[in-house]
Amino acid sequence: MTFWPALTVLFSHWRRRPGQLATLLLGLSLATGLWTGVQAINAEAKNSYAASAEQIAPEQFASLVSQDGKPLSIADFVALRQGGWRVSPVLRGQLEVGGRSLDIIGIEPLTTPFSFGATDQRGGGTPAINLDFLSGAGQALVNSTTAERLVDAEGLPPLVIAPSVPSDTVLVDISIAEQLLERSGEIDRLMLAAEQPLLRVPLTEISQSLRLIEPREPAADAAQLTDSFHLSLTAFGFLSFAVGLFIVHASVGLAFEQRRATFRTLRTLGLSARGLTGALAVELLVLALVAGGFGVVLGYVIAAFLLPDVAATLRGLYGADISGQPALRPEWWARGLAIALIGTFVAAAGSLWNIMRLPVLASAQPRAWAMQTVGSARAQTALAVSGLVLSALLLAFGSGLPSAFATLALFLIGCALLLPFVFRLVLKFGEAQARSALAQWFWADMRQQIRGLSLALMALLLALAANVGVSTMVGSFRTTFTGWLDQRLVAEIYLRVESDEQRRAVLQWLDGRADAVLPIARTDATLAGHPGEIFAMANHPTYREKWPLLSARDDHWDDLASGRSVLINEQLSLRAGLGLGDAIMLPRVGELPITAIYSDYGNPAVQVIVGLDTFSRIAPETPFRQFALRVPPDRVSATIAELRAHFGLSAEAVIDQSGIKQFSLRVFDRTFLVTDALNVLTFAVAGLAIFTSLLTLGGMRLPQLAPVWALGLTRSQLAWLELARALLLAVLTAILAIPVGLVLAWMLLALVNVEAFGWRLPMLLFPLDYLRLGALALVAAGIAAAIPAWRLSRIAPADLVKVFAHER
Amino acid sequence: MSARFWAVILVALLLAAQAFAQGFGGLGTRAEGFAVPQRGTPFTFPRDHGAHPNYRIEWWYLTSNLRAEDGTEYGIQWTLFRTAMEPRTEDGWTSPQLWMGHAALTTPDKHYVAEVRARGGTGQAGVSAAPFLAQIDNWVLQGEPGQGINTLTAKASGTDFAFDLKLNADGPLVFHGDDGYSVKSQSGQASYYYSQPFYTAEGTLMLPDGPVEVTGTAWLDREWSSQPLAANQRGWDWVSLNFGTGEKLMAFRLRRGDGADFTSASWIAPDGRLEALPNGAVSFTPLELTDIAGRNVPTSWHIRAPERGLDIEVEALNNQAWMNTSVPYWEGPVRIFGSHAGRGYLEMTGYE
Amino acid sequence: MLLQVENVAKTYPTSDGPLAVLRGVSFQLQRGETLALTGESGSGKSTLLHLIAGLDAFDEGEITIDGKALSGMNDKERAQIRRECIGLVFQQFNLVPSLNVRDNLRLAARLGRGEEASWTAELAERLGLEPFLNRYPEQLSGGQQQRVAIGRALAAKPILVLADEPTGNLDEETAADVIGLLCELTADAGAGLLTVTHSERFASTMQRRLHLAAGQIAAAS
Repeated sequence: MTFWPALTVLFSHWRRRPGQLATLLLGLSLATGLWTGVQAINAEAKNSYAASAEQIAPEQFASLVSQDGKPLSIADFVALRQGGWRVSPVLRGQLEVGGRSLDIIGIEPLTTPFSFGATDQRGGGTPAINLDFLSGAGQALVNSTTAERLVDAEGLPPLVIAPSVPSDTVLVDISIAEQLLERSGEIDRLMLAAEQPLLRVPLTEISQSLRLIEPREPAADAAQLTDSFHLSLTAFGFLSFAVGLFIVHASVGLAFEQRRATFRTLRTLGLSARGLTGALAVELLVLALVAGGFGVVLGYVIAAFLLPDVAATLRGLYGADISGQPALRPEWWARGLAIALIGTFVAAAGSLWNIMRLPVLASAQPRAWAMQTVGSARAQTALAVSGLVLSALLLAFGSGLPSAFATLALFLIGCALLLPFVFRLVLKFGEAQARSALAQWFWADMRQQIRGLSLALMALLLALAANVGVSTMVGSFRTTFTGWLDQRLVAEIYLRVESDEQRRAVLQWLDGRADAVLPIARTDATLAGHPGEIFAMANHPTYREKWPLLSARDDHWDDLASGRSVLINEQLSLRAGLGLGDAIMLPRVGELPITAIYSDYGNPAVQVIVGLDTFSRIAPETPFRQFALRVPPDRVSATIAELRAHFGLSAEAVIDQSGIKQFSLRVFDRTFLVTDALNVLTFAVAGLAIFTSLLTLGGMRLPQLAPVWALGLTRSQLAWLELARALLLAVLTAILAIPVGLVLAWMLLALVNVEAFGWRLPMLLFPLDYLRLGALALVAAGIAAAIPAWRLSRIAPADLVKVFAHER
Repeated sequence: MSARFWAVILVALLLAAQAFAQGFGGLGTRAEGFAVPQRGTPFTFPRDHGAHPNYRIEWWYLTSNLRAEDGTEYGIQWTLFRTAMEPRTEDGWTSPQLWMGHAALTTPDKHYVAEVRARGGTGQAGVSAAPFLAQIDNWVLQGEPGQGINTLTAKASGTDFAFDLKLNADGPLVFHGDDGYSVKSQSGQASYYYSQPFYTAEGTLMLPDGPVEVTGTAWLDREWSSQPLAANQRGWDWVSLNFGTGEKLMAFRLRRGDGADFTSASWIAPDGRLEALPNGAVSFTPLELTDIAGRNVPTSWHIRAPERGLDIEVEALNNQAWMNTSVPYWEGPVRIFGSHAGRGYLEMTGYE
Repeated sequence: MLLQVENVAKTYPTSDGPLAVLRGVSFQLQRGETLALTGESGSGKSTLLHLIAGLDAFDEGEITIDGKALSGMNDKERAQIRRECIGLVFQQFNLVPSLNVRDNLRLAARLGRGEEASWTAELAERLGLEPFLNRYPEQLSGGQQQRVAIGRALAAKPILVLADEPTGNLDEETAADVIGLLCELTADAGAGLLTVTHSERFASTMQRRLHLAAGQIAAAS
């Protein structure tokens, strides 16, 4: 059999050149690792969303509450039940345990609403009651995150882990909630089962003082909203992987080039083309599996490193709860290895194909490898142009998030593929400008070199453009967000009172001590078919001056105050297609025209702002318990201290606005930590691609360099010229990358963000950042080119002479 | 969404109570602290129609065989269970008394089931002895003042069915076992057990197709105890049969894993005289098994009591009469063929 | 009949139009015979050798090795003939740089019908390679490398040995050595030897000789 000896010969090459093997494995491992890591993050998050979608939130049910906002009684509950209504009580409140503020939810497990369909295969419809939850010391259900935080905490029943409970929430029996919250006999809301029995007594006959609240779809329908975040991560994963593939292609090309003679020997000794290709394929398979294995482990490490930040980000931005620890599941091994295999074969396909096709003796020619023929170069340019055209079409006519990403991807690919063509034009121009023979040779030779370096340069372009694009987006985001925060958080202090009496007392006290006391109130409502909220806004110059408006009609503030019109947030405007002058239907007051649209970054829900009087008509039973206080800046901490001391208000009840701002910015920064990390890694991968390409070319450059050397240039002069060429190419790529990156940024902000988040950010430019990136590119290229150049300067003259002697 | 969500909650809550309990529905668990039935205790009415909170488990169990004008046969079940975590009462959510109501309507093709549950101490469920009222939510079993349980109104509703029946007893209460002390196993576990088997029934059934007027008979079981099953008893098969002769039979068989079953029966004469049949006097032989979601449940039985000349086949009107409630079991109306003919009810527990 | 070449013609396409390198060459070779192919550069002698080795395909005529005709064969079949029947020795040695001398020696045999360790050891001894068995080709002189090449070719026990300018890169003394070894070992193996050479000296040690000019046999002896 020819197979084993052939394989032995192939592997013997790696034994002699472990450095090359390392590069190949490194490139593929990195690429696989980045891809796997991102996928792991995404999958962990998706798993957690699936769990969180089933999380406990009483707002998800239609519920009955009392109209005056006071708690209901057990008698109310019994009356409804005896009227045939399947209701179940909830008692809820905040409790400080072990220094943390926990959300205590007391439920009644015997009456919790569910249907009698079989919940398991065997037709046992209703699960049995867990008596330990009800009796004795009871149980407190928490998720594992909360449990960790509550280690050694006292005052709660024994903890039991239940993943579907949100963080910092404790689920207990209502009898225990009564004790913990010291609210005996009270019920906050009665949840209504989805299916109600026949023969119910009408609600109005049972009680006149009840109000029905519609169920609210979870505002953090986490999976949907965070899709864009994850899509971004996936896009980065793809990008990194693609760049990694360039490395693989370069390394495989190099390995094939260096064994060119051996291949010929094997062929002449009687190894068929298929046999050789087969052995090479097996070799690649083994390498891919090894690199893939490393890659999966690397991916896990990356995920473990980044996931806590992702978790914190998503929790802060969306309230989505994901665990901070990835699990190395078997699927990851399978997928990581698969992607490594696929990637390797895609990257090596061209080379393998060439081996199959070439006649035995022709494989001696250097032009066969890693160089584009004229024909394929034209094909690539054509492909590039069609990609760009497609992207433009999608831009004009596409809609939805997938279309936005497709536009982006096609644009990037088109630009990358077009790069060699642009370079050739630039270099032709340079050559035409050259005056000395050396300069002419310099430019012409560079054009030669492009054909071998094009893939690496494309990788560099993509990495640079991605960096430019993302840093522009992040920068715009941050600047806008900071400015917006300044506008929205207009007041110095935010205050929340517990009861009407407390409110009266506090307001009286504040009279004369605060410049303005602005009531804040909100209520849930369905707006233009979307679940959202209605806010009340007081009529005060504070808002008139500062509120961040995107568009507005004249006198809209007056109209708002007098109840003639409303303000809507950008999300509502985009989602329901409403603009200035359109009318929106509000509960109890009917239709009102929209006279201004304001920006509302980071809010997943739609929102309407109405004047105070209008709000009182919409939701008369909602008490005003929150206030924004205008206080001179130097009096802020004193006022807060006095309020707390005087009225015994907790830290959460009186908040200093700058604290809120800090928190928001922190959350924000962490969001983009992840993308930063990925950016850096992608850059590293691109740099490696250049390095290996230059190495690949190294051997093949000799026939081009030797004649020039023979004609009188010293080796070190040649080496410096090589370095200069590499730097020049890097600079050119960087210059081209900037406009590509800016378009990318625009697409991210104007397309992707809008589709995903529902609001739009203005794009700002950061020239210093771009300069910095360009410098980095130079440094990377310089480092990558240094070693091959140094080796050139040290090459033995005999080797250069051999060029002339050998038939090659 | 809500249904799925609560199902998930309850799955999360589900640390099987069965882990610590034994026997079907935990009824084999030891009766610590609870009162235990004593042989020879006299019954007092109307007080004993009410609840006995110092006993662990108790029920008010109504079954009824009905027929519509067009001849279609129906079966009705109205049951209120009381179970206590501790032998005392208390007001509010902390009460250790728990209540569960099962209602079912069986037609030859369909079987409708409803379940409601309630905590004691809130008034959502409860039983008062005089005037007699057993209720949970808006399900009632209600007697006339001063009439004990001689006339009852039985009402219940589920999401897709409801019924409203009037019952009139034309016979006396009967007391099973030794004057109401009913032994369940060789080890001597026992319950207090009496019945009113002599109701005539008439009323309305609400079905998805519309209301149906029906008439027929009904049987009310009253039973309470603190450990009705021995630890190794898996469940039971129980029948209440009304023969054309006016005689009635209540018989049950408690099954043990090793096949050493325990049977007990009451032969009831038309005038209400009861003869207790000891262990072994009645034999139960399953004839036909039906697959209900992976379980094999006998829905046709051969029951014999040679001393009484009884050799009958009891066959389910609808063999899919599975109660998929939080503690699942089979309960449905049956037809009787053989040496005696008539209608009755069959209950089978512990088939998993 | 070991080798039969009948009317073989080969034309290469070039940018100036098709170039006929061989225009109908015929000859035969028996086992144990040695034959030299001589001619000016461009006469097609290397091409002819390549065609016989199955490294390239001819346009007309027929080449038969040990009764098997090459014309109908695909790449796989020709490869099989090469590894089972033919031993090749080239001007540039063509050793695998990442294998040591011992492994290089065994390579062709292992690809073919299998290595016979004792024969390989004998070849190594007779070629004077024993001290170098663990060295790599880059550490050997030209003559030593060519001897490895010869050893490799013969270790596979071919029935036909084809040599293309085997002494082209060697100095006089080494060349004489190599020629001698080649003929001796080929004779011992009972194989036929066909060699392309510039060297008069080499050609004259062969039993027969064919002179090619302009793609045809100009003279034979």
